[in-house]
Amino acid sequence: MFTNLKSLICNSKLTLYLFLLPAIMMVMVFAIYPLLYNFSLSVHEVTSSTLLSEDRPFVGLNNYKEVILEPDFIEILRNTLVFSIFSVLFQFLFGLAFALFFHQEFPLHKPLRGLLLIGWVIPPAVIGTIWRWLFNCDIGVINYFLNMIGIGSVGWLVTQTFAMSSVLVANIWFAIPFNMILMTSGLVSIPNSIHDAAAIDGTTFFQKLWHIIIPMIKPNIYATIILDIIYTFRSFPLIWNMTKGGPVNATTVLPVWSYIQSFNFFNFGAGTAIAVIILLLLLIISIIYIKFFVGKEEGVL
Amino acid sequence: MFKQHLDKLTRYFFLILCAAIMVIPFIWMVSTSLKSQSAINKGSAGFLPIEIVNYIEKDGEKEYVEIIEKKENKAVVNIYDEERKHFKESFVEVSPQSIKRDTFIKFHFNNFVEAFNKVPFGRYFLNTIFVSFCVVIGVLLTSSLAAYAFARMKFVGKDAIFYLFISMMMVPQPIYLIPSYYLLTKIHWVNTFWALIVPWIANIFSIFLLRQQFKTIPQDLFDAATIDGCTRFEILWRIVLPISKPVLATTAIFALIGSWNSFMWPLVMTNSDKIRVLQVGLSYFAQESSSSTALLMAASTFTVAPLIILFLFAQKQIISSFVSSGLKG
Repeated sequence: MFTNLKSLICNSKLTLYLFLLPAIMMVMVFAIYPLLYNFSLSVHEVTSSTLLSEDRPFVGLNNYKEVILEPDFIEILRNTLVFSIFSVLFQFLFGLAFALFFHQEFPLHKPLRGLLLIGWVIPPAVIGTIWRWLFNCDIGVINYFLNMIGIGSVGWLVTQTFAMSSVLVANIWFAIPFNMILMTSGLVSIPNSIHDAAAIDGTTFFQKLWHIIIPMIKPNIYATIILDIIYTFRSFPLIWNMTKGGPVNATTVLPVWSYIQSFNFFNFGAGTAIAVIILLLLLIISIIYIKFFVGKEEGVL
Repeated sequence: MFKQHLDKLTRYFFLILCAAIMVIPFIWMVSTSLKSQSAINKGSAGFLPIEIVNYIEKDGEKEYVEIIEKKENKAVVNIYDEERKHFKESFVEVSPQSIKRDTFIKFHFNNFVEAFNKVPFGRYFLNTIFVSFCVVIGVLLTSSLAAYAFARMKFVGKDAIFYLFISMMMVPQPIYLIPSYYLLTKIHWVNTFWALIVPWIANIFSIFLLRQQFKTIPQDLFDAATIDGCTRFEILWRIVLPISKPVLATTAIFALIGSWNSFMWPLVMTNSDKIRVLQVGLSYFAQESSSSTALLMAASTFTVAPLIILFLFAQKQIISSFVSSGLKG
C-alpha cells in the first residue's frame, strides 16, 4: 500500500515538474525574460536615471534610427563583419589543418596535441593581456624581432591601420584549439579501414582529404563553423583587454559598442538596440549559412 | 628513399611550427613573469631572464650602476642598492674605464609574490573558486534533472521546449546584459555573489550533453528498476548518475571553465573589490600597472595555472566526450 502510494506520487506528473522546474524556471528568468525585455528596452528611452524607474518614454524605433544614423555605425558594422569573417575562416582552416596533422601517428603525438589544446581553457581576458604585451609598440616581442631584422617598430595596437589585424591574429590564435578539438573528434570517428583502403588504392593526401575525409566529417564541419560564428559574434573580453575598441573605433565591434554605449555613456536604449542588431545579424548569417552550405539534408546540432 | 626522408622532414618541420605557434606565447608569458622589469624595458625576447648589468668596483666590492651619461673621459652613473631596485647614490662621476659589464641569469620569482600582494589577488582567487564551485554544483543538479526529463520522460511539448532551449544557445550574451542588470538591480543582487552564481546554474549546453548520454542507457535497465519499485528519483540517483560519471565529469569541467573564464558578466554585475573575480581583477590590474609587464605576466600566469593543471589531468576525458557528445548530425 505504502509503496504504491509512493510510486504513485513519485511517478506522476509531480515528479516531471520537479525534474523540469529548476531548469525551466532558470531559463525563463535569466534567458527568455531578459531576451524579451531587451526588445522592450530598445524601443524606450533608457538612461541611467530611467533604467530603474518605470516611466521610460516610448520612442518607437528611435534608438535603432539613432544607432544606424550614427556616423560610426558603418565603420563598426564593417569591423564586425571583417572581424567575424576572417576569424571564422582562418580559425577553422588552421584548426582543421592542425587536427589533420596531429591525427597522424608519430612519436609523442598525443601529449603534443594535448599541449596545443591548452589554449582552449585559457580565459580570453588573459589571452588579451598576453597579446597586448606581445604587440606592445615599445617593448613587445614582435617589434623586437622586427627591429632585429631591420624593419623597425610597428604600432600594432596604437595605429588604426594595424589594430584590427593585430586583434584578428590574437583571436584566430585563441580559437584554433577549440576548432582543433572539434575537428579531431570528427577525425577519430573515421574507421581505420577506410584509411587502409585509401592507402591500398594509392590515393594522394589531397585526394583523400577532399574525397574521403571532408565528406565524412561534414556534420562536424557544419557544427564547428556555426559555433565559431556564434562565439565570434559575441566576442568581447579579448578585444576589451587588448584595445578597448580603439584606437578611435578601429577595433570596435558591435558587442564592444553595445557595452560602451550602455556602461560608459549610460545610453541603455542604444545599447539594447545594438544588442538586438547583433542578434538579427547573427540570425541572418546563420540562415544564409544553413541554407547555402548545410542544405536541407542535414541538421546542425 | 630520399623522397621519403624529405617527406618526414617536412612533416616534422610543420609539427614543430604548429607547436611553436601555439605554445610560444605561453612560454613568453611565463618567461616574462620571471624577468626584471628593467630587462624587459631594454627589450629582450629571449626565454631566459638574462640580465646585462654594468658595475664598478668600489673598495673591492661590486656596485651595480646605471649609466646616465658616458663620454670619453667622464661618466655619470646612478648606483643601485643591493637588490637593484632603487638607487643608493645618484649622479656619481666615475671614470668610464672602470665601468664593466656583467651578464647573468636570474629568475625573479619575487614578481609573483609582488603581483599577488599588489592587489588582493588572494581574495579574487577565493571569490572565483567559491563562485565556480557553486555554479558547478548548481549546473550538475539542474542539468541532470532536466536532462533526465528530456531523455526519459514523456510529456506534452517536450520537443518544442527542448528545441527552444537549444536555440537559446544561439543568443549572444550582450543581449542579456542590460535587462539582467536591470533585473538584478531590482532584486538587489547587483554586487552580490547571487548575481554571479544564480543566473548561471541552468546551463543549456550541459542539459544537451547529459541528455545525449542518458538516451544511450538501455531501456531494459529502467524497466527492471521500475519493476523493483524504484521511483524516478531513485533511478536517477542510483542507476543513471553512477553510470554517467564520465559525462558528469565533463559537464562539471565545462561549467567550471565557463565560470572561471567569464568576464563580461562579472565586469557589469559587480564593482566592489570584495566580490571581484579573478578575470576582472586581472583586467583592472592590467590597466593600473600597464608599465609593469613582469608583474602583469606573473598575474596572468597564476590566473591560468589552475586551469592548465586541470586540463592536463582531464584532457583525455574532454576530448573523448567531444567525440561522443554527438556534435555531429
